[in-house]
This record gives sequence, C-alpha cells and structure tokens, in this order.
Amino acid sequence: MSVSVLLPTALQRYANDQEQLSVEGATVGESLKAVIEQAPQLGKHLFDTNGNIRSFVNVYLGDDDTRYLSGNETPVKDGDTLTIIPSIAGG
Amino acid sequence: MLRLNQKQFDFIKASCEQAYPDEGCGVLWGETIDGVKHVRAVEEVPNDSGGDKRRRFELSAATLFSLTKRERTGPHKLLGFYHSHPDHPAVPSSVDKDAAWPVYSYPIISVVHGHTTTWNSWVLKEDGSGYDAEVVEVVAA
Repeated sequence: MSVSVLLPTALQRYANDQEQLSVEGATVGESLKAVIEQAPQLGKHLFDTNGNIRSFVNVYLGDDDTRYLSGNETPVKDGDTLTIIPSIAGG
Repeated sequence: MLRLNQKQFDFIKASCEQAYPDEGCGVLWGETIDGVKHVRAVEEVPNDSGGDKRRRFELSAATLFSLTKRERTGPHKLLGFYHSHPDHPAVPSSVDKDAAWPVYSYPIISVVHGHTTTWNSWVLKEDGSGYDAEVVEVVAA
C-alpha cells in the first residue's frame, strides 16, 4: 500500500526538509518504520529505545487519531494519508 | 531570534494572567526569514491537561491536528508555543523538556499573584539535553 506521510514543521529538517513522504506499508506501524528507512534521523524523534512510538507523538490516519483505532496495528490502504503531530505539553 | 510586536506581547501576558492560577498557553504563528522568527499572529488555545492545570499544560491531539491542518493551508507557520508558570520562574521545567521539540520557540511567562513578572523564550538544544535562551525583540505595534 502506498501511503503519504505528512511531517510537522518541527521534524522536516530530519527528512531533508520534505513536508511529505511516500512510503509502503500495510499498517500504521509498518508505514512509520518505512518512514525511518527513508529518513533515519527521524528515528529517535518518533520511536523510543524499545521501538515503540513515543508517547509524545500523535499519529492521525485521515482525520482519526490512531490511538482510538488500533494504534500501530491499524490497517492502511492505498492512498491513505498519515499525519505525524508532535505533542505540546509541559509544566 | 524571535521578533514580535508589543500588541502581541500584551496579548500573551493578558492570556497568561487570565489563566492564573492555572497555566495558560497559546500559539505563535508567523514566518522565518534569514533565521529570524517573525510573529504574525498570536492565538490562545485551551489548556487541555488532564492533570493539575496549575502545574501542567497540554494541547490536546485534536487541537494540534487542527493547528497542523491550518498551518498546511494557511499563510503562516507554527513558530512556537507559549505557556505560563504560575508563581514559578520563567525557566523550563524538566517536564517541559520531555515534550519539547527543536525548531519551535517556547516563551515562558512567569505570573506571580496574577501579574506577569518575567518572561523568557527558549529553544530546545538539538541533542535534547537542555535549552538555549532565545533572543527576543519586542517592536512597536
């Protein structure tokens, strides 16, 4: 499945200033792994040391937060768009 | 460097003072020219923290998704996010660092007894180890 992945401004510098990447994957998780293959510098910003998506990273499939779907296991289909959104929080 | 005008700065102060004793927060919109972030608009957003809002702030995923869509289609980029520290100094906390990102500016406004005392803007170091203070210029509106 060919999926478009939209990157936030904060992370585009780790992907040669690209705003959008096109990757292959059957699930959200596979697609994000494919993103890292294209832009390895994004890895530490998207995944923790255990290989899980960092809690400070939100991923939307279309208009839906994947946390409320099936997370990384959410299936994607050809032409879908994933949007990566960094959390903004603090104390 | 972050450049904003007095009217925008007054808006941020008022936003944070009105939120007191909770933390207030908002968005800086604008453009970066030759390394200088020019603020074109300032917008307050809800503090959606599920914890103690006097010590925490958070923008909900839904709010961020909406902001991101607007950034993609609108004239301005997201330059940074301001928030207040009620009765605490205008320096980043350890909690701030956990969810901070390089590129963005993070103005922190210290509001003591409901009034702004000091403020500073911060940028996360590239390696995430801490913050650098950002030079800020407030120009006439």
